Amino acid sequence: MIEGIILLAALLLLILIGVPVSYAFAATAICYLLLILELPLVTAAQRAGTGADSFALTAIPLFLLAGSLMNAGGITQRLIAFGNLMVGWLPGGLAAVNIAVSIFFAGISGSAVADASAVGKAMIPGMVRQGYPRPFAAGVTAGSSIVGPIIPPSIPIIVYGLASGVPIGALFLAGVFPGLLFGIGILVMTVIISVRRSFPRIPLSHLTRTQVFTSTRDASAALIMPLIIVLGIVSGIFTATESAAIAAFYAFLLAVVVYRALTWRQVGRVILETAVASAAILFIIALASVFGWVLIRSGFPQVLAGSLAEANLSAALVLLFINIALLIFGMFMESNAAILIFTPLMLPIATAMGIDPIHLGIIIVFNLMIGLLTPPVGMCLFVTAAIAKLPVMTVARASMPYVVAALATLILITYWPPLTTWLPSRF
Amino acid sequence: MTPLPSAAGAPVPGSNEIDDDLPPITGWLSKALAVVCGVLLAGILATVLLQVFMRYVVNSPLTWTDEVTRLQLVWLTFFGAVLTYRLGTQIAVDALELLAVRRGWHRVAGSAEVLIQAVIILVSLAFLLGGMQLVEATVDRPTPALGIPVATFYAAIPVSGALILASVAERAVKRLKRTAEPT
Repeated sequence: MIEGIILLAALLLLILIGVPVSYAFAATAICYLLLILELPLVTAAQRAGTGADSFALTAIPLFLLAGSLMNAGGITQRLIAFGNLMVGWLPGGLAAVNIAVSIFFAGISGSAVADASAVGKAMIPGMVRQGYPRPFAAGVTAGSSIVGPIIPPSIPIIVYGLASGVPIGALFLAGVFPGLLFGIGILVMTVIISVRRSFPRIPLSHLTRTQVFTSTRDASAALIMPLIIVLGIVSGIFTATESAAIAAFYAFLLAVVVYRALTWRQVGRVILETAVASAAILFIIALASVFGWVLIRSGFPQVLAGSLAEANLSAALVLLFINIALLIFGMFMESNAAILIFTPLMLPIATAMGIDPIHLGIIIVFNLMIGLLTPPVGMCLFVTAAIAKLPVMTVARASMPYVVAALATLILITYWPPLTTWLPSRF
Repeated sequence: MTPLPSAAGAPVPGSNEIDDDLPPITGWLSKALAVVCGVLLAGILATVLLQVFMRYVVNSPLTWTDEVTRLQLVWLTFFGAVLTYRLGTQIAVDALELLAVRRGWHRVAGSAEVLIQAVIILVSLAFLLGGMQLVEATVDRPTPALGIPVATFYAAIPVSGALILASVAERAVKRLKRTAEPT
């Protein structure tokens, strides 16, 4: 028990000092393994190797590749045109389009950071040009980007599936309604803010029928991708990894053959950039799994679950504790790594309390996505602040309304299980 | 890029304006690593697509695609780790560093940097030494599908450990040179 707490505290200390997250995991795990478990060094290396050696993990770089290819292939511009058609005429038109595009993009990319980067680069300069305050433009981009990993496909949900053994197809389905609820919720909220702050409203009158048709057709070509992915996995035709490869291939066809927006050279560049970006995530996951293994060996999760069960707390109270703990850790930790650490800690507790593992998964992922909007480690804030050329804290303040909306959604997700569990139960 | 219907109020950004997510990759080792990582990712995509194609279109599933995919993923992970160190794009909390710089706490910033590099050296050494033992232990064990040594997978670990150590040394030498030169 004590060793488990020291292990977690040492990890947090190293991360706060500024040690890269991956090395912080490895260093604490290796020290514990050598000094307390008294296992040989070769075990540490082997755990790191097995952490990276997983067919299911391959879905992560492939989904990232699908998202990057779609974005480089000009799909973001086409989704903006379509979003404009749908919600551009509302008060605060471009802000509403920004959110709509985030929701569309969520079905293509599985990462909030990729979502924030793609939508931010395409939308923030245009919003500023149209007279929106720069912090607001960045805030709405960051705030809406976290819908990306809630609506399938989703990298954090794949990681939870790996850590918990819950089928990824069921988890993907579980995210659909919470994601749409949050997305539509912030859309309504943003329109109300825009009316109050009298942001520009541009009537959508001079669109020809051909324009409407073209932008709907172009966007649909991209938006059927999440359907293929989810139905393919749920029906058992593809594994998650195979569906990720098909998504990447589809994105490639769309970008190179249909839209003709990318040359072979540019495709090579996109693959190279995605490879480097995904290696950073994969390395963290491999080393977090070493840490997770050591944490389980320390017996801490079991003791924690046991003492919580003995304390005779209600499921509602335990869920509250789980949420608070996740929100706090989510402020400091890379989300995929946090999922690998917390799933083995929380799954036995949840099972003992009769909480559905699918439900728990969405709770964990949603909490950690809120962490992307809070300093000191808020990846979506970093990305949008860099694009808008603003200090991170300014963007953090501007995202506050969205953090509040996310917390409200989180309460609904937590205390109304059918929101997550109903859709998977239909299949 | 093909022209788009310019809907009312649609932003018209040149989408290639800001396309610098990655810092420029300089030096032959970093460039070589980046190319290898790109080739591995393309290889992963091709292997998984082939697996699906053979199972559903040709109707004769392959046994080796799973192993080849995982082999490429392991090497992508560990080669990529070297490259992220060299590019400085690892995910880390820089709150302390920023605070120390703003308040002028040079000693805090300096010792944090030393500690960070020390942790990286420690982990890389563990990769190098533990990984070499692991390779020795698995070099005679064949994998189930391909029959290649299991060590082919695990060799990525000591190789990346050695390359990260070399990169730490290279960075230290560069820094020493910079402080030695009069500005």
